[in-house]
Amino acid sequence: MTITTEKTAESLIIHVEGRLDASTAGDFEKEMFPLAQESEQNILIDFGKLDYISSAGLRSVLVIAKEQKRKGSALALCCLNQTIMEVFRISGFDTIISIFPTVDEGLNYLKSN
Amino acid sequence: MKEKTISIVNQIEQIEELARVLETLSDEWSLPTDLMLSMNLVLEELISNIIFYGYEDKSEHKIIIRFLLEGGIFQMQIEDDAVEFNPLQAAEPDIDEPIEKRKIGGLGIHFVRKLTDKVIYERTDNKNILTLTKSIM
Repeated sequence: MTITTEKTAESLIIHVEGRLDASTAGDFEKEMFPLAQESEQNILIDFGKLDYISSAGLRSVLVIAKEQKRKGSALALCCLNQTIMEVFRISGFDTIISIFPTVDEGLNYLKSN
Repeated sequence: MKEKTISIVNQIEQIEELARVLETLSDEWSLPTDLMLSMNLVLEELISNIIFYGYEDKSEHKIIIRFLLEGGIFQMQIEDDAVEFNPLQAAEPDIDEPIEKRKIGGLGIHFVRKLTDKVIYERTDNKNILTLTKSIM
């Protein structure tokens, strides 16, 4: 699991590659939480290269979502593949986190928030 | 009828091994990709529960997983010597709660229920045996 960050004028884009499972989700949270804490920007997590997510991965995303909310910043996800979208749907996470098909749509949403 | 049995230990890093085994199995048995991925998720959720909550000691324990493909039905059976735990009795999570109230507990079992056709739990000889089936359409 690797994370690369990209800064735009309004938002921070986090590109995640690989798997977010019980053995990698801890690392994701360890890297992402300080980024969320220290940034005043809205965050877009790009899951375009994410192959797999389990409840451990959802937990780590929720931690980031809660931190953003606490700071009054927004969070959006984009580019989820079909299987990952299904996981978000079954868990009901698609109703509590804003999800978009593309980076641009995600960024546009964050711009208006 | 195709069959494969593996044995892992109660360390969370073994989650990667589960993914590898399922990928190989998926090739060898020509399983659809979405089945492989959903079974990976089911297995990970159950196995990580066992590893995190199943043991009262710090020792190494074996967890045995049997895979079976017969008559268009894919079956996984997990056998462990952890404390008695029937995942079917776990409460359903509330998937309508807003962000502030959302917890993660219970999600794993929720996925298991949603992604399999049948789940059977047995407790025999101090072992938990969980059998899950999913038909391949």
